[in-house]
Amino acid sequence: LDRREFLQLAGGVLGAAMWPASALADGEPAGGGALVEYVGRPQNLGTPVQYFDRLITPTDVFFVRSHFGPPALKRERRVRVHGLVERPFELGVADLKDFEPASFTGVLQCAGNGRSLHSPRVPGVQWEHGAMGQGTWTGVRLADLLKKAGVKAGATHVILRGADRPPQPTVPAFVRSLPLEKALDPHTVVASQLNGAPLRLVHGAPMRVIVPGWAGDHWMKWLVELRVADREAEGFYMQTAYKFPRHPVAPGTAVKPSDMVSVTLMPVKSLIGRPLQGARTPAGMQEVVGVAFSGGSTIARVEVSTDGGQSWTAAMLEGEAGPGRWQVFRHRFESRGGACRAMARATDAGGAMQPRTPAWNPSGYFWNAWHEVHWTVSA
Amino acid sequence: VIRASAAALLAAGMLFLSGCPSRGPAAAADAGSAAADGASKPAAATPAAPSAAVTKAARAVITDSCVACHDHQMLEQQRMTVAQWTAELDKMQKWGAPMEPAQKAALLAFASAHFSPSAGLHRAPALSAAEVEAQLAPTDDGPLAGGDAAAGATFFAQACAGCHGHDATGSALGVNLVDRPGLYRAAEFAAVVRDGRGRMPALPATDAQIAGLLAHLRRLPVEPAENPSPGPAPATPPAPR
Repeated sequence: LDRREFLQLAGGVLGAAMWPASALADGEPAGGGALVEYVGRPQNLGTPVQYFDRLITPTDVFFVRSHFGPPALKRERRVRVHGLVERPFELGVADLKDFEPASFTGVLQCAGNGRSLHSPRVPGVQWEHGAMGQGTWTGVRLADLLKKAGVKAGATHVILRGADRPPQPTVPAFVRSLPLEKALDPHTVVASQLNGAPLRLVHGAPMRVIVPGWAGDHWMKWLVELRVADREAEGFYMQTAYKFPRHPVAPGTAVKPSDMVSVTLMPVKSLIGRPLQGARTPAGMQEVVGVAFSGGSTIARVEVSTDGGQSWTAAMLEGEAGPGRWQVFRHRFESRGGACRAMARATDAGGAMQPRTPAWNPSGYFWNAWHEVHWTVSA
Repeated sequence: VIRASAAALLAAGMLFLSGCPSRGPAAAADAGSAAADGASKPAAATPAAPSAAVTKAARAVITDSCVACHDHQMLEQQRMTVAQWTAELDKMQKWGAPMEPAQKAALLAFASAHFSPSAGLHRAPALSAAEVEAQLAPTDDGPLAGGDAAAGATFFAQACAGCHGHDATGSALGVNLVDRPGLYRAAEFAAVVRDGRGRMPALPATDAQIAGLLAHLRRLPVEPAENPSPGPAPATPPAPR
């Protein structure tokens, strides 16, 4: 136990610090550069909602999802490319210069983002809105690494393995795979940088996989192995976890494993970053700002309602459009004072619109209901 | 049923208060809102607050087993039914968390009473970006630099391998030590060895012994874990402490 944990355990039910004085609810104003600590060990840290008013999420407050916690920081850690290939090889960060640079600006979102907002509740890290962020990820194309290795006939998947180890051998290792088609997508990247700086340990240093438009469970951190194979990865984290019902189910339904498929593309979503829930703003022009994205498409429009959904107005969109990439939306209106509310819903270029009620599923993935905030305008 | 569950929740609130005076009004408010939630959902009956003996046993399991791998916030933020808690504890046991039947029953009673669907809002604390970095960043070895790895291997085999495994990849009694950031935070590592942690007993080791341990653990092979599936649960749950 570290000192803080000891103090917490020494306190009440589990801790005196269950609701500490510095408590930060998702959506409440935070001090500069603070994350929301859902789990301290291993680190599962959310980005405060107020950062969802801009195109790039600052690295300091970029969310962190860990299954077991990171391995030691070793910039010299190498990735082994092998399996069904003609020429297996290894590479470190310094070897990335041998390949054409590639960059992707887009959304990393944990599949479980918003889990605590599903009803009935399901087990897992009880994320609110903060398990997402947009960054510029820079490295080389995964396809170029596979080209150098020479993929053999019969290959169908690339198995991804990181250096993080489970706490004991009876706990399944976090192993994932990508279908070969997605691995060869020119936008799929093995990155060593986030927002122009070397990846930090919590974000996967020295190298991680970037899988545009797909949920974060594919974005393997601390990458050490790319194994080309003729089947997808085995084990708990590929065959049991990160699965979604093939067809919509009523909330609370137990779904047979054969009716579940792996989560991949993120559904269309928007979220209001400002004003914050419960904020007070001065009378006059009110500005509703947020972000909107869709895993497989561009954003066609974001509409905002300030009357509880009776009427909707198209918001202005800013930033470059692209699949798996968020744009900022902005809507202004006048208020002379009193209670205000705003709700946002996005529609993508494929015609998919954010649902009013999210698709409940047994693991609480992909919450994307219309986001509503209430605030008070001082007269 | 509604009245009984509300009473149970209020009792839980009293328990919070008696266990933790510093929380005061916040606890009362949360117990109140939880009771209101419970009243609006009579179908989701919350188990009554467990007895002092069960609470003590549950806390011991949390300290000895759960927090070896994750901190207690992982439990506190859940809002699960008895059936969901049962499934979760079964999964954790399958993954190797040591729990005797009575311990598991105590933890189930405790968790499903306090962290039920009708419990109040969980507020996660704030953590600055600087703290996030500081938790994992390597620190200077100081007097623990330049250890004798061979001596460390002998010391490890005698004092540590019984719980952490001969290859240091962990067992039901001790976590993996291979390739961990903590191996490069020597002073913190030494404090854990000397003070103990959870069920791990304090070990009065010298600087030279700890330096040797670090030298040994740092040179262990760091091949990625090869087990994508959980193995069988230990046949006999080990006794606590």
